[in-house]
Amino acid sequence: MIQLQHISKWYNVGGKPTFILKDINIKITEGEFVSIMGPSGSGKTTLLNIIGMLDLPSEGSYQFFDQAVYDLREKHRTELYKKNIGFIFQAYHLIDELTVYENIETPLLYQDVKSSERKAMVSDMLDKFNIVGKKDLFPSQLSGGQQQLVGIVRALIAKPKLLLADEPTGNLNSKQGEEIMDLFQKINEEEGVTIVQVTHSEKNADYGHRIINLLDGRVESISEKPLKQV
Amino acid sequence: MFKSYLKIAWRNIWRNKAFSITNLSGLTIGMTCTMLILLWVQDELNWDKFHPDHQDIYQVMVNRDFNGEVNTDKSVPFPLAEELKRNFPQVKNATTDNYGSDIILKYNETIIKRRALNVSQEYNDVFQWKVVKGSAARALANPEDIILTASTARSLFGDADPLGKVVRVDNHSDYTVSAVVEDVPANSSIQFNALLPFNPSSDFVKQASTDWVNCFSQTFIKLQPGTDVTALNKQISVLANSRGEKKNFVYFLHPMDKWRLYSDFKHGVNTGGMISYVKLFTVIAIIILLIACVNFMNLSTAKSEKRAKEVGIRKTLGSERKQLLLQFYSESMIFSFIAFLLSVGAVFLLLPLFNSMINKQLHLDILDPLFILLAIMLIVVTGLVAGSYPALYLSSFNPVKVLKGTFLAGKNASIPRKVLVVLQFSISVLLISSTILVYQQIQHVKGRDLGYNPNNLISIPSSDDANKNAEVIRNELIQTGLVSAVTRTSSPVTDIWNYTPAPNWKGKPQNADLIMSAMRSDIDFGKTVGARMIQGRDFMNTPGDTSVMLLNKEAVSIMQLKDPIGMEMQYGNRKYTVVGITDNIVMTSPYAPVKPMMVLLERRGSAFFLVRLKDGVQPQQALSHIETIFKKYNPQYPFDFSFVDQQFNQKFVTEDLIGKLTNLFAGLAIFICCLGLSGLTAFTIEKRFKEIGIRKVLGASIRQLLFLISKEFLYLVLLAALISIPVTWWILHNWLEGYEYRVTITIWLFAGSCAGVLLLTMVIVWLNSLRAALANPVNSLRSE
Repeated sequence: MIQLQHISKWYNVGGKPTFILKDINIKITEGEFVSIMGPSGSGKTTLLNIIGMLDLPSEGSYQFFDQAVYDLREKHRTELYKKNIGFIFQAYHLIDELTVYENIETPLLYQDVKSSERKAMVSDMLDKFNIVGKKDLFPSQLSGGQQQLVGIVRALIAKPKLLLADEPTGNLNSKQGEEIMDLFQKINEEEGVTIVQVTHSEKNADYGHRIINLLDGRVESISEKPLKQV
Repeated sequence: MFKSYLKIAWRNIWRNKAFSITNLSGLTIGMTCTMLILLWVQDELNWDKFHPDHQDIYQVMVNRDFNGEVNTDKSVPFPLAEELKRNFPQVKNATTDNYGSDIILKYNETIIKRRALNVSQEYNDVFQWKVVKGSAARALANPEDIILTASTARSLFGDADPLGKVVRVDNHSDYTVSAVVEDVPANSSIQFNALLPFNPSSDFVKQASTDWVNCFSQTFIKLQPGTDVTALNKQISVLANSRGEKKNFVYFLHPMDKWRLYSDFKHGVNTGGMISYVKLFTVIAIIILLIACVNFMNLSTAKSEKRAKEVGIRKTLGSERKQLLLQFYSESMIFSFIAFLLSVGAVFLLLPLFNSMINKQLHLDILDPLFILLAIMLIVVTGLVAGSYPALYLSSFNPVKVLKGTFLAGKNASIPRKVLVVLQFSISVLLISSTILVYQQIQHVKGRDLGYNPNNLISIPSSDDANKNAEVIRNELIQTGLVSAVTRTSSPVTDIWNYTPAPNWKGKPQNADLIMSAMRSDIDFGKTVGARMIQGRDFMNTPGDTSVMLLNKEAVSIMQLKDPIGMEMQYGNRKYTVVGITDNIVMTSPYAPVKPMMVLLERRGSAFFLVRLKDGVQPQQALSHIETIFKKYNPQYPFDFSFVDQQFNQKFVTEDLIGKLTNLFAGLAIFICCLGLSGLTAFTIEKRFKEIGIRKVLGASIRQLLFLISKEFLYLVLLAALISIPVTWWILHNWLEGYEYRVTITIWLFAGSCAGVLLLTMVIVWLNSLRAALANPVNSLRSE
């Protein structure tokens, strides 16, 4: 599904290139649950952003479902991105001015889904994640865990094939974090959604089938894990 | 999708109330000003347009060259109209009128004074006054008929049918009402309440019909559509110059569409007129709207950090830049639309006030298709301009950066905002300077030495009866003890009715071709008007004083007379002795140099009584006595009077109007600037709240903090002053060029207005920053 080859990214600081990512080669197959770990500044988030097409590398190639991403035009890339990728953030990043319902609906608006269809899809998701009662509240009226739940529902609403999560539990307490991770696992197993998460916590990383360890912009090690028994 | 934009826009407006109110009030005031100005401009542009054939109607005008000074005049020979019609097939119709005068209309016991024009037969063919009753053609063909306007007819006859009624005019002739026309619209260059045909069998008209020298009337023609006007101008000049004495005048046609706005001529060339004010205020309207838009841009981008996160999220959710642009534009459109609705309300509320201020009857017709079109344009243009910068700026954010939270607007981000603020400050300096200068100029001219004393001087129109009883009236007026002097003149002191070639004198240079203003007056001229006598004496009530004249200082100077007193002047077929020299008396434009003038003693007929009240006399008390005396000796006429100082102030109507309008709109524009500045300061302080807290902890005093915040704005004001002073000087200098009697621009004007802007800025900045400076740093630092 995803094939990164010789991905490097650097900035020029005082005439010298400072590498953030250096020659990254990764393959991710559909249905996988991958965790990316590493200390601060190791390039985890940048790598995730590159996978998520929010950021461009300085060098390298990226195959997404057999499409060479960097050969595509901006418009097609956005199209590819909109159809296939959902994003989840540490700080939830809900739009403060919109209600829960409207936040979840927004990605569908950008995909020109018809009004009646949107309604059905959002209601379905609200049901499924048990947040029907919260649909008219604004983000500021929710707890952190609830906000992140809305963030996840919003990321899933357009039925993406790939879910990217940047420290999704970073702002949550351990109980809330555990609930979110369980949810991720469920989505991965039941819906077959590929998940790539960036995390600091060993415990959360263990939910993944594979852990990619980054250090100073390089892949230090990849550890395969057996499927976690529920 | 669009619904979602509207929803979020509305919630943003609702949530940031202070921001929205600032933005909306700025835009609303801006749009209200723009609409008021445009209503005024539209009214000015529509003058005379109600005539269906206005584009084919022309006034015949003439440039006469005297000693190198070209005089442009509307008075042309009386027979010209008919000759034009006879000789040129392009001339569809031609007509003449006598400029009009006030007449007394009497029907039974009703006596009213109205403005009447004497006109020739084709008057209503050239113009098309709407006939309500009767036939205008028949009325104008019959010298004993009269045409009245509807309101005049109503004043005379009430609801009775006016047709066939006989009215007495000026107490001596009867006329039959044979047509009634609609009232002349206020935006017509030609104004009248009654039309009287010239009487072709009267001696006056008979004589005038062959007189190609003396001109008392103006001529209008209607051309066939598509006529070559330039060619016709030449033909008219050839024709008119070939009649009577040989002359070299240049006749030309002045189109009706230019009568109102292009009425000024200098050296025989049209130099515009009201149009410059129409243009000026259109520019002001645009500037005010622009300032309001700049506010919107400034405040919106100042708030950008708050919106940045939303932009980032939307981009990660799949929004393209195009869609974000659309979102921000629709937000500004909503603002623009709400502001428009508010300003329509404001215009409705303010229009009566505005009308009384500018003395017009403007009204807003919201169902007029033109208005709807303009309204849509106004909303869309305002929305687009105001929304352009925020939309382009906000939608350009990189989602990775803004969501990481490391997004900082950076130093460069505030540069466009600073440019906009400098622009606003510059405009403020310009507007304040202009307001002050317009005021100075008006005061300067009002304070000009007029050469006479217009205060406590009353002018009363005369009549045959009053002239017959002039001596008795004078004596009784003096006997009241309230009046110090009385005279009679052939024209008002505040105007010149007669320009004439200078008289002949011994030693006059052969080629001297001088034009002077002439006026006739009874005895005590100088004493009554309060003219300063430089040499010689006033007209006196002695039998020897018969053929005498006064000259003014300017006349002595252009005639180059060394010892004028006692000189003999041959004027027409009479000889006059110069008995006195008056100082220059300002009679026409107070902005122009005084023209050479002669005053001839005339003891019989006159057009006006001038009555000088004694110092300290209450005019109202004196007037009741004066009225009684005039009622007694002039019973057929309603008593009418005017104060000369008020007549004189009429000359400032345009400048007073311009002064009022600049005050109003400059004030509002500056207010909008202040609103924007206030909003911007609030945001700057919000951004630096933490910094202020830290500095306070480190020991900064409140004064130091205030200085820290205001320093930023101080530089902007100074920069704005540097930019705007030359521009302002250039604009004002050009404006003053139009006046021959004018103030000079001093450095204090700019110093004053810059100081004003600076003071205003500091007050606003300090008021806004005091709260931050006084706040307990614990709170501002904890909030992180």
